[in-house]
Amino acid sequence: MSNKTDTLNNSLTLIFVFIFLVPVVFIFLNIFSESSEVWLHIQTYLLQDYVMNSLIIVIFVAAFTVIIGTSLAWIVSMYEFPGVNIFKWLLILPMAIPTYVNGYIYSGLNETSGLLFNVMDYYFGLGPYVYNLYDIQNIYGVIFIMTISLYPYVYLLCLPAFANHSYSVFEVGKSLGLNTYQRLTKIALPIVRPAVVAGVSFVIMETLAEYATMEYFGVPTFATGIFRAWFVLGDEVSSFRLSSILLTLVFFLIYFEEMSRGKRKFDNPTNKIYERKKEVPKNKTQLVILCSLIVFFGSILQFFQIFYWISYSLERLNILFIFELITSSASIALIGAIVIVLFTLNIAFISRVTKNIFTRLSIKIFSLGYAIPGVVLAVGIITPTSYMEKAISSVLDYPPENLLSGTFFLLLIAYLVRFSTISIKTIDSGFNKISSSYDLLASSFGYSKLQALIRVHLPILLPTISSATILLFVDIVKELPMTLILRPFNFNTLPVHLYELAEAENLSSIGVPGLILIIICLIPVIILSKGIIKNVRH
Amino acid sequence: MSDTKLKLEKVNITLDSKVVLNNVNLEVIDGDIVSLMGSSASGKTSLIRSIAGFHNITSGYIYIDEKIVDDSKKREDVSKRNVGVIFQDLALFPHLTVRENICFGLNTLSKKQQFDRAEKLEEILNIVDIKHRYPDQISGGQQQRVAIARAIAPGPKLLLLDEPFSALDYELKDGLMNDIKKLIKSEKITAILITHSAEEAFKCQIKLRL
Repeated sequence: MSNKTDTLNNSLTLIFVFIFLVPVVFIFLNIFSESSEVWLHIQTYLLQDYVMNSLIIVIFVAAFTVIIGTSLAWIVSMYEFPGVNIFKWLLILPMAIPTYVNGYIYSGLNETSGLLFNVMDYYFGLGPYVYNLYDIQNIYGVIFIMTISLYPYVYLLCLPAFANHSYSVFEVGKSLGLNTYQRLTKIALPIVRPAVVAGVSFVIMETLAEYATMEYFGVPTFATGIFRAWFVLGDEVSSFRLSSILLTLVFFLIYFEEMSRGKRKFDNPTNKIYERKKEVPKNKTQLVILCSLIVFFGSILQFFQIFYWISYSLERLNILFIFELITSSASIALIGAIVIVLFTLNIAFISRVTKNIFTRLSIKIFSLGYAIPGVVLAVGIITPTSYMEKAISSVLDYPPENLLSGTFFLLLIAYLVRFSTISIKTIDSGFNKISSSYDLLASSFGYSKLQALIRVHLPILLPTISSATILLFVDIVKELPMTLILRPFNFNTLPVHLYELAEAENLSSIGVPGLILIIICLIPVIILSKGIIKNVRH
Repeated sequence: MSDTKLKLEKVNITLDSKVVLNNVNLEVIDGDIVSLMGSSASGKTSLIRSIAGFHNITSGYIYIDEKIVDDSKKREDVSKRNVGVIFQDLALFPHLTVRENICFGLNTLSKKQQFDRAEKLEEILNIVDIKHRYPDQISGGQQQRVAIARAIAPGPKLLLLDEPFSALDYELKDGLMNDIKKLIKSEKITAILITHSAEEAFKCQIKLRL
């Protein structure tokens, strides 16, 4: 490749790295600003709550998701019981329900518009009793909601990890006198440890980033604190300080995950898998009940409640408005997905062609975007933008300050920074799977790098690119905090509308938009699980 | 004009600061089929890749048709060397049919010329029936034939084969080697075959060991 092209590629990558690093660097630089009164107030009265609540939630959600996720993966991989193949699929379904939607549904169940309240009231006259039976809007409720929403990440990663090992490793355990529990803890868990660590890291990041559920349940955490400091109390320094603490925690977590992987290999060293018939357990009824309960509370109950809400909010449904919501959500998600895919495709290709440390390092940086909580990223983007706008307008003596704030451009930048992770990892690993002989061969036939990309790499990568686009589309469709903060005036999406309905305590109207959102989210879940379950031994 | 097709003069190759080949001299006459034998990591593939122009030599000279194509400072582009390469992994494009794979290097020709050339090679290599299939729909032996047809299609004067038969069983290998030898002779190509198999090397006119 010519020096000119190399320079162009490196400059392009450098610009993108700059865009990615600005929010993070800006947040950390601003923590040295002078303390405001608001910060002193937060430090004295609220910070302890933010730290304690965030830690408690993270610890319990991590523990519960690991227990539930690994146990379920172990059960469906190792045992034969009625419906096991259907459970394998159904146990993934909670992934399709955004956490905040789960939160709204569970909060509404025993409300006067809720399914549980009405069924118990209608058949048994126990409505008021059910109403007072439980209050989920507290820290325990948050832990429950986050656990049932996020355990599939651990489950889904553990499934292939169990499947890729020959059953003989467990039979050796059996022959040495280990019981089921010992085989699980002494053989299975160490084997799936990398999958568990990866899954639980993702769970922790999602938990720390969750804003809407915490806000609705009234549990103050870092995410809600950052939002309040900025948008309610109007103090950016406090918002930056909270963001920097949260980011430090997240980066520490990433470091821990990388370290824990180390250089040890947990793959099947022989690559041989001896098939065998699955074990038929003595307590298969208990396993069916356990799986059924988790499926019921993880996804079925939600559908009942949503359809119940739809049944009596249908007559006041504004179809035109819902259609507008779908169109706006789909358009921004589609544009965002295409922009991100083109960007990551370009970066991954540059990295393949130039093979220099700088581009490899930039891919590493782009892979970190997803770790930055949406609220933090929004704050980290909007502030330097507003500073820049103020500077430009004062230099040019140009009155309107909102050149970029509240525009789709800024929203797309935010999506790019946060969601490139998904695409870059998929496309880069797709490129890595393409033999370098193809490049050599194309060049021996006189094809330029670009021609090789179009004629060789792109057609081979098409399935990978399509999956990345779908995953991105859905992630952007259900994204809430960044869209809420950075969206253009009067621009509404399905999650923003759901958030507004919940904030207005109008839960009964979330039926239709909630159902549409869940249906959209089901698409990648099916694609993802199809690929993973295919590898799991039958 | 002498009939030397390829000449290597005091060629040194270094990879990741490790000397892979030191002071290699070789002269291949036009029309020869030369086998290069050697143990694993002896530098066979590195030598082939340098001849093809995929990476630089550290010092020395590579001549093709008496013209310097690499003097360790200046390297002629791979597409201008008129060299065909068959890789160990064959590198058949999975998204293209057999016919499209064969025509991949014929993009400067008209569609009619591409068709005629591909058809001729398909007949010689006995892959006419599978021309509309994709690489994953044909056998290992057929894949080798397609890779050979693709490499030979643009009419290279030098063919470099990097252990293309390593995954085949003896009978298949034997038949394929004979077909290739015939094709190479009829197309008047000089060939260098990398192998670690004595049987494969034995079928070539000249045997060299690295």
